[in-house]
Amino acid sequence: MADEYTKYLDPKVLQKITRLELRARLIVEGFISGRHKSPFHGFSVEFAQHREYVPGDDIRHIDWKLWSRSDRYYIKQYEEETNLRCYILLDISESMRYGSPDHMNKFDYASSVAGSLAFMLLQQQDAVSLSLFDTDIRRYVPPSGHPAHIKTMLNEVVSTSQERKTEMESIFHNLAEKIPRRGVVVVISDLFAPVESIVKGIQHLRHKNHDVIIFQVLDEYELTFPFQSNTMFDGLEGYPEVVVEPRALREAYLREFEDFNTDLRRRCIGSNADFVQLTNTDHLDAALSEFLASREARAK
Amino acid sequence: MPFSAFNSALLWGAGLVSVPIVIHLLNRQRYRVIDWAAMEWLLRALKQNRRRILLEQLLLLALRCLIILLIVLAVSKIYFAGAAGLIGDLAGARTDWVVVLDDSFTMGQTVGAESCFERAKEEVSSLLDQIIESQGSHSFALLTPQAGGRGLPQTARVDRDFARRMENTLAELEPSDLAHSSGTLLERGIRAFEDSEADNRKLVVISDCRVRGWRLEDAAMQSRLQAIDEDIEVHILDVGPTAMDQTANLSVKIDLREASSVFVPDMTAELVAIVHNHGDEVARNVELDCYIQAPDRPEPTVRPTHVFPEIPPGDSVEHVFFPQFEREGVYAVTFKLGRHPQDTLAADNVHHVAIDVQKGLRLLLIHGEIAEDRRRASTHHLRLAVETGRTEMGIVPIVEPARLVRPQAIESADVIVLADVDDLDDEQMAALRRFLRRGGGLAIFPGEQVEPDRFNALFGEQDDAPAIAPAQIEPPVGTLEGRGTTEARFVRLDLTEFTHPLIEGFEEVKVLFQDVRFYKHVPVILPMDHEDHGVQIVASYDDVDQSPAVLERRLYETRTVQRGDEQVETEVETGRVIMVTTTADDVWTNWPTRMSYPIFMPILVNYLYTERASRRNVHAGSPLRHRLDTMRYKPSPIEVILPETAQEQGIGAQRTLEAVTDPETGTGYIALGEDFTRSAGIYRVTLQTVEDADDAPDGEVTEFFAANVDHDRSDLRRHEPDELRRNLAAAGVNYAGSVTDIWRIADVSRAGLWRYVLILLGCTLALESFLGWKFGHHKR
Repeated sequence: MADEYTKYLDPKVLQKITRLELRARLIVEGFISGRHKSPFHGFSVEFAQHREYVPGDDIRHIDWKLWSRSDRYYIKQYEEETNLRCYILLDISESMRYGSPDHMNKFDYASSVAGSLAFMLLQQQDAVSLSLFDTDIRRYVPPSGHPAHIKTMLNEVVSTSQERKTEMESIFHNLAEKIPRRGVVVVISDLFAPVESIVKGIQHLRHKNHDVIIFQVLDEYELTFPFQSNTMFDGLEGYPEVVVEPRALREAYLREFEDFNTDLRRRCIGSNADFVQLTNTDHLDAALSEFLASREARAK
Repeated sequence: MPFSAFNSALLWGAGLVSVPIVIHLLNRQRYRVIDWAAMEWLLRALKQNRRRILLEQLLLLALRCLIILLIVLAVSKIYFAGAAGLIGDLAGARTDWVVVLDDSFTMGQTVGAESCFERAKEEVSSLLDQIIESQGSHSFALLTPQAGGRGLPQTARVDRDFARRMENTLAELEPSDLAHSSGTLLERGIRAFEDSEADNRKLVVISDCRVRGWRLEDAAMQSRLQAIDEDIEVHILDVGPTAMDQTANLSVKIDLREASSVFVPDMTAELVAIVHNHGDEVARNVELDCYIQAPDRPEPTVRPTHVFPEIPPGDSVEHVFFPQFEREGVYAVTFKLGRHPQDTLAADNVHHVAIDVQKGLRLLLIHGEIAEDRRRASTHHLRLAVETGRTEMGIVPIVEPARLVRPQAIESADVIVLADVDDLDDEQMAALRRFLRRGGGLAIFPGEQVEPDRFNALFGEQDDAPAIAPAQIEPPVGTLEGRGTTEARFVRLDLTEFTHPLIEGFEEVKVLFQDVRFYKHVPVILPMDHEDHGVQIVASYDDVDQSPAVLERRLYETRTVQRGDEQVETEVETGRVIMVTTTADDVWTNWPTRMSYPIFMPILVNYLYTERASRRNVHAGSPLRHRLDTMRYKPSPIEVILPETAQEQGIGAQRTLEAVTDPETGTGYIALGEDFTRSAGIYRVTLQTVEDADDAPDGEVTEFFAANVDHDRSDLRRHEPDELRRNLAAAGVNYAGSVTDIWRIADVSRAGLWRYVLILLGCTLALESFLGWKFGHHKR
């Protein structure tokens, strides 16, 4: 149990992510100047630590003295750089339990996303918070930038179970009121809830100037509905069971589901939130890398 | 197929058809369970599409049931038998078979172990077996060409019971004494389809395909073939002898033209029997018997058997019998050949003749002169000519001037000659027309006193009656000047053509006419298409125009006759008229003073009378109509004893008739319809005499009529099969040597239905696949 969280930190995944930096699209209060655009220019900062130079780092922050002693490039990091606070909201409702055969279920996949992001943020001295929610926030891990914080967060993840419905609007409203400083809110969920309630919650977060990133995690089967033979679909989150001939319904179901997703994406983006749809068959490293690259490009 | 078996098959079939329904119901119970998150959208899709899905499922279910049904139909032979019939009936896809069995007497030819007719019956049985084996929906009718044939027709659905009944019917069938032509056979079969509404109609004509009966080049036959409905599939099944040279046959007949036509009591008559060897080998020691049945004797007199030492192949030999008839009345004479190894057909080995023996032939000579002096009349030479041979010919001439001749005398005459006559009153003309209608023979000599206009008006076409004279006449041509000198101008008869029966006997002795001169004659105007009007030129003069010297008009009348169950109109020959375009005396010609005149004139009289006499003798199946002297005999009852062959053929032994009265002339007739005379043989008729009638015995009188097979059909040559096949194929008719050949070609309903089933199956499968794909059921 102790090391179970490491499954979310697949080195193959994290190797790429650590080379990238999460860049907030908006100016986040308390960001370390140089790395992130800060509204507090000229503000004295306290040195925190060195870290090894990687290509892409601003050469103005290289510690030349240390270079002269060790003949190696180190970057000086300051306390202000850890001021980015990222609040990860991970959906633990019953619908996240679904996973098609031979694939991770949606919750496992979403947890991997959360773990990867948290690890990356902690690597760059940012503070990360984790909230596990369904109809309410079931677990809450306060923000911290300590590297060991990852372990705390992921242990919370593995110890939870998915049993209840989803209720997003109230969660988002509560969170918007609770978070004292502007930060990055990352929602990882299948978003199986009324679009209107999701959007209202997002708009509230945006109203508080939070940078909102939505990761919608879906199962491949939910997008393709490939069933052939007669099937009883036992509804999660309290929906009734129904026996249908899947082939006869496939087209109609896909149309309905596509309409929902399109509407959701359109309105999330319309609310100035980033919207990323991930499927549990997508390679996580590629998907996150692509998202982070596009986000970095937009920031420049 | 028995009903129970069919029922069982139907149950099995129904069980199989329900398989898709059962599978569907079972499938609804068999499903796998999946926890599903995106349930909201699935339920929404289900709600909006529930009715559509239900309809699609029902449609696909119905199609799958149909596919199973079609597969069952296509592969299950047992089930198919019943179902095909059922479906065939429902869809009207039935096959109507009409088999016309030629029962002409030539079908009785026996080659080897069996006759052509026996083989034909076997082919009918074989065809029935094939039809039953095919297990489709069929009806079957077996016909003989003449309606009312025994045990026929039968039309019914074909099954084993029907086949057994048909076997019994076939066993009783024998060849008739009739001779059918190919046209009759086809027409009979085609007529049977008049009420048929079947999709498939098949006519099978089973015949021996003799050259004499199948005149394919005949225009009437060609038009009949062309007129066959394209929807009727016609097969000619040839059951003639397989060896083409198998024509060995001996036949006997008497041609009345070759014999005395007027038979007088106590006078030696001549009866010439002609025996023909139709085979290709010499026939030796052929025996011929002759039987003469007197009207008042119970048994016939048997003449000594005559033996022909040898008859060359393809040749005829004659033997003359010289019987003497004791008294007036009708005698029956039968010629019969003995059994002979080279004879394969028995039906034509006998010939029956009914002979009228009477006091003499009443020849009425009517002249147009006012003078009553017979010696000056233009008929004088005629009377002399026929009286010369009176004792032999039995001709009794009666001379009357036109203005005095009574209508009764005209009607009661046997033959009439009009010489120089252009004026008859209405009653005389009416009597003359009645005389011709009942078959009288008339000779006309226009003569020098005849006015062409009056003549043409009198004997030309009337508003309500056909012309009597063969042609209209014009003013005479030629001149009598110089007659008796070397400067005389005249014409002779054209002696190059002797084809007409009246003069064909003179071909060998045409020298008799070389000194006959015609100084004057009347030209004639022939009617348009004169041959269509029954007019033909018997002899011509040798002038440049080849002017007609002797003409003949045969008179016809449309009469309604009974043919089977229906009355049909047919054209029958009545009287005939011979016109000689010169005088009967020696005014315009020297003919009466020449030797040929007394020879020709009795032959002319006989020619005109012989045809009437022959009306007691007909071909089997031809109507027989003979005048009844109602002054002597009662019109009813007339007892008719049919020949023995009629009893064997199931037609009957005896019938009672009434005389038929012509409504226009009042003349009574003994009329035997063509159904009546189907059997060859002697028909014995008993008439009741009128009390106190002149010149008639008291009580009953027996007369005879005779019917014979058509001896022209004794020639048994067959069509060469390949040639026949080619000719028939050109008309779209299939020639077959056996039922197998027919079955190979016949598009029977089973094959048709199978094809339809398979096509429907393919279409249904394609439709099911398409709809399955369309409804998303087959999407991957």
